[in-house]
Amino acid sequence: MIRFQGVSLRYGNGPQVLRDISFHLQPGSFHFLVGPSGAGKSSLLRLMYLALRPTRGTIGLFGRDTTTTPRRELPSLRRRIGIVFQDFRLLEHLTVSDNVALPLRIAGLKDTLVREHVGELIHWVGLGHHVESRPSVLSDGEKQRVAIARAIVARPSLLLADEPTGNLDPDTGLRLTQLFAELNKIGTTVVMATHNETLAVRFPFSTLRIAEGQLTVDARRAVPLG
Amino acid sequence: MAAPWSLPLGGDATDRFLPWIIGLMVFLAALALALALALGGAIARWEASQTGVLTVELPASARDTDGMIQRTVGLLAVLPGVQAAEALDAAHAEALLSPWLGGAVDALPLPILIDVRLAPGAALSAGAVRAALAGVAPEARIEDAGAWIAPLAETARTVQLVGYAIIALIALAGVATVVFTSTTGLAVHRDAILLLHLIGAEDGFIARQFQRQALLLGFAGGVAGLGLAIGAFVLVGRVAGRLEAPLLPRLVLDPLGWAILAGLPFAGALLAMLVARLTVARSLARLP
Repeated sequence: MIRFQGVSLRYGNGPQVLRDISFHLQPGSFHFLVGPSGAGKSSLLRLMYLALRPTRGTIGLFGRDTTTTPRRELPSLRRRIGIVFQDFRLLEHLTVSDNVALPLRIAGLKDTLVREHVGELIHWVGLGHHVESRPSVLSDGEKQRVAIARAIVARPSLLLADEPTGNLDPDTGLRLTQLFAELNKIGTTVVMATHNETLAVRFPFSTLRIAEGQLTVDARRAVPLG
Repeated sequence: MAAPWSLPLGGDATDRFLPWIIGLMVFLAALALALALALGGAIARWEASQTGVLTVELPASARDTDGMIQRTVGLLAVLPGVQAAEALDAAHAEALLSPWLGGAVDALPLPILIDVRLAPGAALSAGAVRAALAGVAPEARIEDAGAWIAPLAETARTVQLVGYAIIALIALAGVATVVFTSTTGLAVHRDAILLLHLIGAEDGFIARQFQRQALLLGFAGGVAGLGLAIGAFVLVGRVAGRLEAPLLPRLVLDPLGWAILAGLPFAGALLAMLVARLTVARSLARLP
């Protein structure tokens, strides 16, 4: 599913934020990505969702080497990834349903199918009464659920979540992680970045630990390194 | 569910400003184009009316010389290259000269004018006619209108070229404006564009939204600008039409001219759309 081989990253002429990282994540697996703030979790995720190109090394995604894939072919890879951003990144001028519908519209799905999928999913995340609301009237928890609905509406093979519980109370954070675990059960590969290790240890999933730009693997739940 | 356009284009200052600028540019371009086209028509009319025509002018005293006018007309009619020669009556001559001389024309000893039409392709010069008439009417003056129409037409053509150059400059300014508004739009909506990019939108999906916006705003501004320009053109044409100045070009357009003018808002909108697309595509190509 994801294969990092000797990946390093620096922003411009700045210091290296990721150093010689190698790992391989199997399809259908679930991984917590843990580490202190500033350790490089977000940078690693950004490489995974193709927002950045590595300074060195290669990144394989869905069997393709993304470092050599022509730029015009990257959007089709991105459409197979669902992303939950820490700051939600909802479009304020669109309604909840239009925000959730974005990936389907980008994929060129017919409007009737878009309505059907979106309506169903918004009810599933418990926001049926907010279908036509704008994000500005929603609480952070509700915004997070809209962001999750948007991330999974196109049935992605890979779900990447950057500190999705960061703005939520512990109970809501736990329920959200359980929701991700449910998605993982139906075959979605999940990588969830969090600095909340007490949350991570409550689930039987492997942990990628990052510190000072270097990756280590939880000894108890080792991920096969590529 | 709202329209599938995911960027809130149209709500920021640059989008409100674009139709006004395009409207002003189309207004100026339409005026320049209308004047250039009208000038082109005038040049064609001048040249058509004066090609193959000579005017022989006999002094007023020729009326007192028995048969001088008839002999001159007769000689001109048989000259090789002449199709027809006809002396204009006094009333016709007065009508021709009154725009220049006003009421004083009655009191003046008007010359006798003989209109000479040359056969198509004939190369009969004023000098050759003068030489042929030397025996019959030595005081005759030969006016070759083509000789003074040519520099006039040349001047008009130069003005016409300047008009087209102005249109080209206006188009360049329009291109710069659309590049500026598109670049500003990209900066204003940067976060939303980045989000669309990350969730799999192709560059074309994003660029289409900018190009559609530029097309609509450009067309709206263009139609308004053209409407104002037509109003101004018709008004100036009417005022100029009241002047008794036969050499001034008439500000009229033929159907083709009107069709070209009507195409300006479409051309402006298409140009705006194309420039917006290229600007946005070029900027998006910098994203990974």
